[in-house]
Amino acid sequence: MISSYYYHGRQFEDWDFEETELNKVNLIVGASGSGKTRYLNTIFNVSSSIVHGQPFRPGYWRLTVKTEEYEYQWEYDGVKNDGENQIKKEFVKRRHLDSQEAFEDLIDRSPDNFVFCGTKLPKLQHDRPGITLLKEEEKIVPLYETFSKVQIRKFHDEGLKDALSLQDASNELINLSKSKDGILALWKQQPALSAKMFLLKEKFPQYYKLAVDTFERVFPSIKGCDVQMLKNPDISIQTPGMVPVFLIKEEKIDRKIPLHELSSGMQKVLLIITDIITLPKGSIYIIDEYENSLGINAIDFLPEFLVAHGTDIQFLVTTHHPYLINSMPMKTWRVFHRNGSKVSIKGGAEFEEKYGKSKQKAFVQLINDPFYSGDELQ
Amino acid sequence: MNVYLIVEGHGEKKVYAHWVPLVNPSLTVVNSLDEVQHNNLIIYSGGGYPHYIEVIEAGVEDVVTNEQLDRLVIAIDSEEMSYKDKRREIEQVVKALGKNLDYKIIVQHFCLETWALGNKTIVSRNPKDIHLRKYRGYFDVLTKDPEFLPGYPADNLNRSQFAAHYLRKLLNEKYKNLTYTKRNPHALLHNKYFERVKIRLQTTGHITSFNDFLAAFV
Repeated sequence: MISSYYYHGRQFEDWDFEETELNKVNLIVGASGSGKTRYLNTIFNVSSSIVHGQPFRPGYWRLTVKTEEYEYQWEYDGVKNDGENQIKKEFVKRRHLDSQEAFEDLIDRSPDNFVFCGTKLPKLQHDRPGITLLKEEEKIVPLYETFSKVQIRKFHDEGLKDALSLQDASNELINLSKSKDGILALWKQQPALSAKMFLLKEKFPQYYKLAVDTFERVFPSIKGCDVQMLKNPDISIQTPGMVPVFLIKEEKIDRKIPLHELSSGMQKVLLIITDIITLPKGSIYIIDEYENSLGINAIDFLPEFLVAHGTDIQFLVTTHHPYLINSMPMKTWRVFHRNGSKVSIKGGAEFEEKYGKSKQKAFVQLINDPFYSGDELQ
Repeated sequence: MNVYLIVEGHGEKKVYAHWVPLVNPSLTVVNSLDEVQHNNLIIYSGGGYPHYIEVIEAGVEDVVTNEQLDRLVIAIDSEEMSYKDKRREIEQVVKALGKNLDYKIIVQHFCLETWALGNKTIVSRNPKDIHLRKYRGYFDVLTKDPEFLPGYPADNLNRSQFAAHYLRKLLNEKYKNLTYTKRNPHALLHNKYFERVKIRLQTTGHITSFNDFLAAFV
């Protein structure tokens, strides 16, 4: 998990996010325009760049990552000068978790110098992060793997469209049969939702059952789920022929209803459930404004679900919803306030004492707090 | 005296923060309960009805359990209800809790914009806006009590919506760069505006519910 995070933009984007400690479960709250989505994007984007080696990301990052055994500190400063990408500096150091021993320097890098574990390296690609270049090194692997397990789920149109598309899953099925990585292999494939349910049902029936049981608890009108091979109705986009389609059976409705005919609320809930239960251990899962166009039944299962899965996964969830804000412990809050390009972030623990005196619900106190609302009355 | 005030929305919060000290200059606004010391006003906006009822109930609890708080004031729009019915409704909410406390109810009859329409100086004598001319012909807030403003069925507006719309039109006509929204009622955040509303009550007897406001903080 990322246990502390600081970002400052470079060049045209000079946003500055206050250095913040993060928990396993983090509820990112703040008025619209306070920088929540941008903050999460910086986390996802830098992770994506490290894993894929590109694109180059100008910016200054300073973060602490805790793996099963180690605490890593990573500092990175990338700039773009006259079209030339350059990493001005990069430091990586680590020590055993919860120890007071001195940090071991792993990477110490400047434009003309690249030292790894005390040894100067020959010239390497100047615009790739050191973590990327050394991802096979045993001491870097745990850090690299943390960045490789960052997933973001947005509920804007395009993201949802891809997740709900129909796809042939036969190659994925073959690959899963050959793989020894178990559920991790499925996660890496990132199949669309119907294909994912098909693969879970075929290869990981216990996960399929967990997903379906949870889904049916959220929507009691559902009396059964299934995955069937059906003719792809949209042959202009996907491969023609038969494709797996997730279906539900609702009470008082004779026919089974396919995924693409379900309400967007039901689709989103199923997406979240299957995302979370198939995340590999040590993942970081980002949800941006989950509650858009959802009824309360589709929202109120989430707090308990996050807590149940929060042992092995780190969650960062943005929300405006009173139910989520009231339901999640205040210490999980990270409250954002923006002044120009500077974003201040307060941890929930700061509010516990302040709000503890009043019987008003947490959400009411938050929206009346000038730090959140931006309204100064005096 | 320390006052715990509950209003419906963020707009009311801003207006009250500005107007209450004009009624009682000794009161200063604080932002949280732990800041309340001496002659302070703390304001919670309740997020609208019916969630508002929960906020009132929590407010009663806060005033009863925090010794430094002297009075609870609840401000609410009557909207489509009568002044008496809305007052009775809130009285019942408070009394049902069975607590002994000093409280005042301000019924904004029928919404905050109704009071705001009481300021005669915002009314242009010969408006250029065609809609405003229609509104003046339909119900002239310059001469008639805004508390009797009806809805405007031609535009599917109930009376509260019409009051807000009418107010916005009047302000835009007279002060081109001035905007008014429920969330940002900048036009009302002036001492003179408050004085003009008070004068309307005192000289004509219109907007009588404004008496609730004048009495609640002294």
